[in-house]
Order: sequence, then C-alpha cells, then structure tokens
Amino acid sequence: MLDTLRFIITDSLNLGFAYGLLALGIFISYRLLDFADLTAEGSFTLGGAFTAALIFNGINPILSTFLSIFVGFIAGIITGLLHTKLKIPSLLSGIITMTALFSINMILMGIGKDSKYDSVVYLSKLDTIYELFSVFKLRYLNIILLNFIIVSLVTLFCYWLFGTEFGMSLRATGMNQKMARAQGINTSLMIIIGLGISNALISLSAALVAQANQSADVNMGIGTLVVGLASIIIGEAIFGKRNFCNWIISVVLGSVLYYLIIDIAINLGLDSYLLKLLYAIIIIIVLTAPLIKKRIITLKRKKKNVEN
Amino acid sequence: MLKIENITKEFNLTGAIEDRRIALNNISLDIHDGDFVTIIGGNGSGKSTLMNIIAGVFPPDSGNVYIDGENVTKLTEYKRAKYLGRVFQDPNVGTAPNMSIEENMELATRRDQKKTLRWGFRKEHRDKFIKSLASLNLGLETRLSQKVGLLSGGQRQAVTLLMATFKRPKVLLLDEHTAALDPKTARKVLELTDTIVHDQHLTTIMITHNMRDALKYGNRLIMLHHGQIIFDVKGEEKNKLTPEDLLKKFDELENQDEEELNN
Repeated sequence: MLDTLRFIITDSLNLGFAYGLLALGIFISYRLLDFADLTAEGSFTLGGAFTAALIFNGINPILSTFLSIFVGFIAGIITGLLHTKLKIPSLLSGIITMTALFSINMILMGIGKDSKYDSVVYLSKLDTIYELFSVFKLRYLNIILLNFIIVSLVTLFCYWLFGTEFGMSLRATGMNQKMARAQGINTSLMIIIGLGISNALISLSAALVAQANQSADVNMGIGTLVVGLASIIIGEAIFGKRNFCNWIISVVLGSVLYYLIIDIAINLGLDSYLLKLLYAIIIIIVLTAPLIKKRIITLKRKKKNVEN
Repeated sequence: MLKIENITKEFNLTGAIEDRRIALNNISLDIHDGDFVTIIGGNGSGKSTLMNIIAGVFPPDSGNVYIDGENVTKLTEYKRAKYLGRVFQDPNVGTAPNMSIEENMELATRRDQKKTLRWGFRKEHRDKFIKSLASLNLGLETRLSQKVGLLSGGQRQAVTLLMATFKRPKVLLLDEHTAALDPKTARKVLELTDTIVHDQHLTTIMITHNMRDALKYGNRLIMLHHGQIIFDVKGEEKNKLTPEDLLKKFDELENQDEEELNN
C-alpha cells in the first residue's frame, strides 16, 4: 500500500513536471494566442525522437536537449507561416505540420540504424541528462529534481517574457487582433513567434520525457493537446488565475495534478489502452464544470422562487 | 496633412459582374493640418471603406494616400499605426478586454515604436496614466489594474480615445465611435472628443450617422453617396447649415436613385 502510494506520488511528480512544460506550451498557443494548435501532437514526438536520435548517435545529452528546443521552435514557425502568410485556417495549419512531422519523426528515429526509418529509439544503456545529473542514488529522484529545476526556470522565463513590451503585444494579439494592429503591433509576427515558443517548450517537454522513459516512439505525441488542455483547465480551476504569475504556476501544477489522477486510475487497475478514453472524459468533465455549476445555481434559485 | 488621390475600391472583383460593388469611385480629398472633418452618408455610401483605406485595413484598387506628405498607400495597417489614432464603432474593438487599463495604455504609448524585450510597465508612465484618466471624471484613475473588459461601453470608448491620442497622432480616425452608446453617454464621449481634438489641435476625421453631431462638431463636412463626394462645405458655410438642409439633400439623392431605377 505504502509502496503504491510512493509510486503514485513520485511518478506523477516526475511526469508532471516534465509535462508541465507541455502545459505551458499549450497555454501559450491556446490561452494567450487563442490558437488551437495541433502542431503540438507532432512537435512533441519531434522533441522526443530528435533528442533520442541524437543521444543514440553519441551526441552529448545536454546539447541534444537544448537542440530539441530549436527544432520545436521551427515546427511552430512553420505552422505560423502557413496560417499568417498562406492564410490557411489555424486548425488546418496545425494538422498539416503535424502530418508532415510524422514522416520526419520516422526518418529521425532511423538515423544510424540498418533501416532508413524506425518507429522507436531505445536509450536504456546510454547516458541521458539524468545520468549526468546524479545528485541522488535513485534515478527517479534525480529526474524529479532536475525536471523541477528546468520547469521553474522556464516558468520564470515565461513570466518575464510576457511582461515585456513584446510579451504584452503578443497577448494583445491573442485577445484582439484589430486593436493590436491599431496599436502598431505586427500581429502576424506575434502569431509566428508565439507558436514557435509554444512548440519549443512542447518539444523540450518531450525531450525530458523520452530521456526519463529511456525511449522515444512515433506515437508518444498522440493526445498531447488534450493532456496540455486538461492540465491548464485543472490548474486554473484548482489554483486560480488571479494574476499572470499565479496563472502560469497554476498551469504547471495542473499538470502534476493531472498525472496524479491518471496514476491513481492506473493503480486502481485501469488498462493502459483505456487511458486515452480517460483523458477525453477528464477534459469533458473539466470543460463542462462551469456550465454545470451555473445550471445548479439557477436550479437552486428557481426552487427558492417556487418555495417563496 | 492627409491627402487622398483618385482612390477607387471595388469589392467582389473576382465574383460575377452583378455581384460587384464599387465602394469608392475615384475619390480625392485634401485635409489640412488641424481640420476636424465630419463625414456623413447613407449605408453603403463608402464611409467605412474610406476610413479603412486610410487606416490601411485593405489596399485601394488604384490611387494613393499621403499622410503628412509621405505616400503610405503600400504601408500595412500596423506600420501605418504610428501616424494614426483610431476609435471604432464597437467599444470592444479598441481595447484588449483581458488586459488591465494600465496594460492597454502601456501598449498605446508604444504605438509608434518597435516592441522590444524591455519590461512593459514603466513607473513614470503610471503617473501620466493616472493624470489623464482623472481628466475623464469617470473615476478610472483608481482602477488602473482592473481589466478593461469590466468597464462599460462608454468608459471603454473614453479609454480608447485616450489611447488613440496618448501619442499625438498625425490623424485621428473616429469611425462612428458613439453609435453603440446610449444618448447620454454618447454626448459625454463626443464632448470629450471635442476637448481633446481642440487641446491637441488634432487633424480629425469623424464618421457619424447623426446630422446634428455632424454639424455641431468640426469645421468641415463631407457627404458621401455611391462612393463619391457629393457635398463638401467648410467654415462659415457649414455653420449656416441646419439638419433639415442635410435631410433634404438625402431625400433628393433618394429620389434620384429611384428615378434611375425606374428608367
């Protein structure tokens, strides 16, 4: 019992912090830019596949992790360009990049192997950043600590960035493009760079997940958008969004909480194939919660009126 | 200050001939420094198209727009923003609803600048914001950190007006900016507009549906019809006009249209 509990907590912490970066990435596109960016599903796999492929081929894990930020940024920029310059609708732009990335990810994972393409890379006997950063004897404690440090630094970076003139302009673009342009803001550029930053964080998140799990596979990105959204919404509902600082911390913590729920479900005996169904149900519940709350309040009022 | 030269704009150019619509038909206009021009005209007369062409929302099919001597015809909307202050008909359009009053105003202080990675809030700006908000007499000076989305339509238009004129624009564009407000609030916002325009000696273009306002404010009146300027009066001549004169003009135009249709 105690072991199970320990597993649940450590696992949700180590995945939760890594996926916290994903949640921040989705937060930037979905909440700040008001852009439902499906690139996420592809750029998550991209980050994992790219980093794993580099490490597999003997590149330094720290360098590999840094480079994953860069490739994610490029993926986001492509979606941004498709939308702003070629005028393709936002949802479709993301889907196009996501689709193209599937092939790219297969190519990446085949690098240095007998076949040209592969759908999986194993890192089990290789050093990852967590082996290089060994403060504790237990690997999972190193993962938790290092992920915590990284997610804290990135959250701090986001807080600073979105308080600058550039960040303010980006947020204004997401809220009201007409107003933004009237205030001299290049809205296309804001969308392109915003999606770049968003996918850079998503890619970094996957680079950490792949190294923690010591493997990357072509399906690891499926459902990431939903995971990110659920983390955002759970975080907002539980920890609030009183101001920007509070808001982004809520998003990261929401991710930890989300994995706590998932881990509990798995330990209660939920088959891993049913996880995606659980994802979908969680997000429906969280999305409709405010609606149901409103209903209950109005029903209560009606009742009161009838009684009176 | 603002010169419009042979501007033509047709919508639905790629559509069938019967769907084509000429919004502006070879319009030329010269507005001098410090002029306050009111523009009236029926629906589909081309008022809003003219405003959008000046602001760069879309390019004209032909013709040129000059602001202070510079040809801005090819400048995109956001690049032109450094010269223009704009207030829109819909109070929701002028501000970012989920940002605080202070953040909105901070954005307005950089309308003519590159958006850098410097911190977005300045202490010295805050004092100026408080001062200018206090001049509105709406009690907004103590609510700097409140989200603009929580303000009423009139309050939002007043804030948008401050934002549009915080950095002195070469031309102030008012696109029926009081049409969505109740009469009392509309009056207040118009009075405020007039004060700001006079204090800063701003070159201003105001579209309005209200004949009385079109005559009361400004020193020049322009009437548009079917994408052409059909009436243009200044100074004394404008002061002599009454709302009835304008209504009569509108009726004449309508009769003309009907005759054309019958022929």
